[in-house]
Amino acid sequence: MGDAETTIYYQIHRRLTFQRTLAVLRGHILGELNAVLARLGIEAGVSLPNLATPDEVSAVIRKLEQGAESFLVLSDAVR
Amino acid sequence: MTRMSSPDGLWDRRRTSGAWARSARHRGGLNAQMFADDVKLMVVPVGGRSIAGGRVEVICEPDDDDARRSVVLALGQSRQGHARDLTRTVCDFVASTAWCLAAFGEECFELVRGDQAGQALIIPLPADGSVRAIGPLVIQPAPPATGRSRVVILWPRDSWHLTLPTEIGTRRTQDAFAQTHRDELGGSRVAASRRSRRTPERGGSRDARQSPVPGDLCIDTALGLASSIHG
Repeated sequence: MGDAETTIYYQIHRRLTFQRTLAVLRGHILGELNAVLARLGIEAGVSLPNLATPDEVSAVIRKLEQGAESFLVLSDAVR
Repeated sequence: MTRMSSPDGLWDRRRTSGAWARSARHRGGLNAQMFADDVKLMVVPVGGRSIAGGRVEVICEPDDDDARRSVVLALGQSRQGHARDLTRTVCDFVASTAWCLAAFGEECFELVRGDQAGQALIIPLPADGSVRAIGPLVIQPAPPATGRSRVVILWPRDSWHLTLPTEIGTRRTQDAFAQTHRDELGGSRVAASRRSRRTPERGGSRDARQSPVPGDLCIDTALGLASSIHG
């Protein structure tokens, strides 16, 4: 199903859902990496604070579903 | 059976037998490949190099030079070239690992505790399917030329088997995903190929001869399926 056959709401929802999946994946990789660094005796942990967490993306998805924000704002809300 | 590590502590990438190798077809064809590439590109925007919406920055705790250097050296030597920048090194690691998880559902690493310079390393093992995690062990069937052993084993202390987070899926569900999209694309390809061969001389209609070439049809199908994957 291409973008021409779907509503803007659906397109934004689909993109946000994908962003949430990426946030889960990113957090999982970094969490496991930090655990492995500790196993190797490297006393350091890394994080990516500039990028959205799954909870933040979920909050944006809820706003979209509730109609609390405009599409224009929500489409650029997540990075 | 032998340890997988070579004498200098690094896995020898040339020792791949290909017995369990995953071909491009096993990855689910073009659709799954596009999906994995999208994940790699977007999990950290353009490998942390995107400046849209502010620069991506990796924070190291504790934020001192020794800690940053240890992380960069542990991750950076597994890639080509000599990495120095923490943000790029970590972002490249996350992106390439995310690609493997999206493509295969798992990735295996060798953990080296102190190479010749005393530096701990995290070395990704071949993602072509020639290495598998079975229970707590990471195992690879060895090619005959490598000596007495028929398999090489990496013990849990020296390995890291990373899988998809359960919230997203498992290796089994990823395999099913690849299978589904391989069948869809494979079916389209076969149908398009059959249509293109059905010329009027062979009993086909004039419309069939004027249908899009198979390549165009495959690309259209792939783009549509890639969009649906994201949903």
